Amino acid sequence: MSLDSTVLAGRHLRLMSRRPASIMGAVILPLLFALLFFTVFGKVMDRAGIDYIFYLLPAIIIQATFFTAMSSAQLAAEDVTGGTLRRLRVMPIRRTAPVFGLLWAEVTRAALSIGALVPASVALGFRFRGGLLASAGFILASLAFAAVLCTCFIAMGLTLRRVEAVQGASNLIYFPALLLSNAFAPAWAFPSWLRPVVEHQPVSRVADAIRALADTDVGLTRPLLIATTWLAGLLVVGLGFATRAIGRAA
Amino acid sequence: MSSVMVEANDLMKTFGTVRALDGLSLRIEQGTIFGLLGPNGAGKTTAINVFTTLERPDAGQVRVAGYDVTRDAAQVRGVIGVTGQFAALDDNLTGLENLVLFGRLMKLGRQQAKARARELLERFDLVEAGARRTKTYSGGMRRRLDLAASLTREPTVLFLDEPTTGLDPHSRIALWDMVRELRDNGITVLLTTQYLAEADELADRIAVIDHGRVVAEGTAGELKQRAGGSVCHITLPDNATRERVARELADLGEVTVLPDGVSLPAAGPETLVAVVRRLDEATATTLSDVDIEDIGLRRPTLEDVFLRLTGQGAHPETAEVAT
Repeated sequence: MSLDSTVLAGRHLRLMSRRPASIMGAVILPLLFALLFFTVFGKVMDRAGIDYIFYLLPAIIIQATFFTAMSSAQLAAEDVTGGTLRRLRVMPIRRTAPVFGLLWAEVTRAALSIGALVPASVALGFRFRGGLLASAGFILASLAFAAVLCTCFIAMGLTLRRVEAVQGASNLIYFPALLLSNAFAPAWAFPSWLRPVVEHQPVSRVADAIRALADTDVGLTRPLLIATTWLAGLLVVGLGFATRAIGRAA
Repeated sequence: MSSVMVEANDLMKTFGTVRALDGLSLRIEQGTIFGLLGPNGAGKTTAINVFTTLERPDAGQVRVAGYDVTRDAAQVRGVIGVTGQFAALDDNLTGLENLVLFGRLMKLGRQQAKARARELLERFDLVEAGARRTKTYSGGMRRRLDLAASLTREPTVLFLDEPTTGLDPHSRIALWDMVRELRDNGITVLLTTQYLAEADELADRIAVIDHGRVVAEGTAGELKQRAGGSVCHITLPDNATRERVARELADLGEVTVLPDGVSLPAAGPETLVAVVRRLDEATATTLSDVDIEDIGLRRPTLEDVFLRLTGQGAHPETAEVAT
């Protein structure tokens, strides 16, 4: 992490702190969702034999990560259309510093949402069952997912440039990726022809890994390996597109 | 002792089918203001992009402060300042925070960056505004802050891309003064503009560019001489009557048909008197159907310079925008 990206991360964090919507999206909205889902579905799921808050927290973290990523795409596009990127590119800084600066700021924001969601869920009955190391892994895996998702969304923002196009594309990714996953409902609740997609898509795989890290009696190796492979692959793709886009974003 | 701070030789740049630069060459002496004058789409912005390392030329070389823009891009970025047409500042940061940010990116320490920012706010008359977010700034204040931002580390060469487009006359004159002061401190300035008046006021030398190459270069005085001094301009809304009016006035001077009327070189007020007299007679007879909107003397404009130099009209408002 270079000094330039640190300075640029500071810029984004300061700008975020002055946009009420960015705190809403990262902290208040996810808390609200957690509370709503818990009150509405908690009893039904309990009757179905699911410890709902245990199931819900990873879902809400993933959803909050999507909110953060969607905003990162928008901020990236604004930096292109507003001329900031152009200006940064004629300064003696690393070419990729604007991407990493925004990424660090967004991961910080994701950490903020996790920092708000975990204690709130504990208050609603959530417990880490897997010991200290696995619990740290839970946080780390959530942050890794945030870093990768934001990289991909920043790449998308830099490529599409137009803010409305970015918003459209964000929704087009967010709804199917989240709703056709096992984040909010278990895969067996989907029609059988959809089940393979739901089970194997990356969001579900990440949810599997995060849930395994909070749980006690499941094998960790397989879900972690699959999730890590997905995340590494997406990171390479995201970084590739972001670097390519930043070269043309003058 | 003077040395060349920007030297471009035979630059070529094509975007798809648009030839943005077509053999552009120029030399800018140290400590001078050089004006790049041309209509939209003439290649001004592409030239700036190449000079400031944003774009690679297809062919040709550019040296800025002795560094080659393609081979030594990083060194070039270290010695230039760039101010764009759109003043890329963060609306939700204060003036001071914006300047500190650029100072930090130019590798000044935290304290140094702050001290430099304060110094610049003072120099650009923004001390009070420095604590306010820039979204509250007027157009003139934004441009001043933008200029200050490109000076966080005193550049050797400063590029100003249409620095006063959209500014009111008062702010424009204030900005001109600041640019002159920078030149007097030894900074080499390359400025692009569509306004002849701006190049006239500010630039020590002017290059007129069109279709991606320099069509004339000289001091403002030299260029105006080539444009032929004042002109008498007759505004005719109806396009069909322009040729007839031009024929009627043919013996008074070399009449040029323009998109909005006709014009001819004027020696002085007597040309205007002669034209009015002639048209007065003619509208009573052969030109009775002609609707004359306005007649007047005016100083040569960018359009006149272009007409003389290239034999074709330059229409800043209607020219296609090529990157």
